[in-house]
Amino acid sequence: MYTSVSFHHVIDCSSSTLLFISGDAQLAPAVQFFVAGENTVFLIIIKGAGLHDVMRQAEIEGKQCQAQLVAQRWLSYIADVVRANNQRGEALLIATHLDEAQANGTVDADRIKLRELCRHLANSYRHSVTLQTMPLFVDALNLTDDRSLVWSRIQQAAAAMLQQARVPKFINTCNDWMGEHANDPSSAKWTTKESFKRMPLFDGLKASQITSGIASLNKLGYIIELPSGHIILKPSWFAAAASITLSPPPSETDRLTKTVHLKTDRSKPGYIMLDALCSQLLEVRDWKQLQWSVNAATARKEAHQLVEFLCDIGVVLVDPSPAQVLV
Amino acid sequence: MLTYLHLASNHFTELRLALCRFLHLLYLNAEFNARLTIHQKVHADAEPRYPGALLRYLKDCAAGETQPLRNFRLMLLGEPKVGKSALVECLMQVPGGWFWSATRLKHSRARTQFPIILPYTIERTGAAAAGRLHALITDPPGTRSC
Repeated sequence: MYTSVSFHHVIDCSSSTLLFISGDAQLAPAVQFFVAGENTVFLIIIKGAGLHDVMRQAEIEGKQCQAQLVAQRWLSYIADVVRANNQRGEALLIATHLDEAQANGTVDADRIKLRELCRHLANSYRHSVTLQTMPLFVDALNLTDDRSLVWSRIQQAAAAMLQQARVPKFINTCNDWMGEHANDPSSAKWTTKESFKRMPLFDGLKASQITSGIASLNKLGYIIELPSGHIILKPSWFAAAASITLSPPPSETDRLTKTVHLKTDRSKPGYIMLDALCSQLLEVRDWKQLQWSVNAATARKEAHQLVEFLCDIGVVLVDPSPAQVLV
Repeated sequence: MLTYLHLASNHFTELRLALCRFLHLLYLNAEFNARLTIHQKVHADAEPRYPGALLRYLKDCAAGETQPLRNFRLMLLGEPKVGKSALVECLMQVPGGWFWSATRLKHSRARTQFPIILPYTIERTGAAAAGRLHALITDPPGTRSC
């Protein structure tokens, strides 16, 4: 077994270069692993309140404002993902904080700049990404009109993307079944591929249909098939575990956030023994997605298994030698 | 009499089940169609190892029922603290729940630390259950640069 393990930190989404951004959970290591998928509607979210001022200021300084930079970077990333995975995708630009813009009296000016930005982005990426030319400016907390408006535009984008594609009924049935499985807190989090094939969602299907069902579930993101052959049945659980980074103690900006701070070897930050890692993972109770078993022995087995999975996707690296490990 | 159909290295997104009406068709090759829908592609790509696999699969499908594809993924991308998670929370409020008496969510919420992946069935007035779209919502942590 391992003598020690270490954490592989952050992967830059656009260029795959390795970065080391200590404790910045906004760039969680697993983000890239979980953001690809077939038939995806991408919502690019920027802050709309004050957009007019920041864009004007950036123009004066001969630069691009932060919102534009972020939108461009994500559109470039989407273009790469869509091309690399031969997937279909639609993008929609959504500006938030409409309430703040209304309070400040900047709604009209901000809306003009938002439309201008969206036109520019749609034009710049017209050969690689389908970005809807009309952006939305909403209050993300509004449960009535704005919620309905956003869902309406999402459905339009989804309909345009799916283009009335038809699939065998069992594909939809499998997707629905896994959706319910993910919402059931008592259901299994992972299984082996052979066991998965015997689960009720595949009852009555031929082997070829089961193969198709698994491929479809995997591509749509309902399951994650690991290189080891294990199937993650609850991607949200796995995403939580894979995203635990060597976060610093909570900062003032975290406020409500319950950060996770794993303690590693003081002399060699990033190094930790397997048992110590499992113990620390088991102490994480604030993240409901981790859902440890009540039974201590079972929970420890789960933690060991989880570390194996994290090794499988390269989030945790195993020391190849019996001594120490390299980040 | 069509017995062999070579569709490899093309840009098909879907193979019509009507192909199965060619009663004498024995061999169908659709390798290297990168955009082919995944449930067919997995068999098209396996053709060299399992000859006839794709055609057999299509015949199995033709014998059963087909439906419009209802599932898609919804992914929110952007900077931290612009309201992605608030928007997800808002979008996922189930009609008929407590919120019909409320018009706005509370403002404060914790920063998202890892990708949240949640299935959601979109309600649509008058739409039968079988016709509703299903979104798999993915809300990754906000990213200043990517």
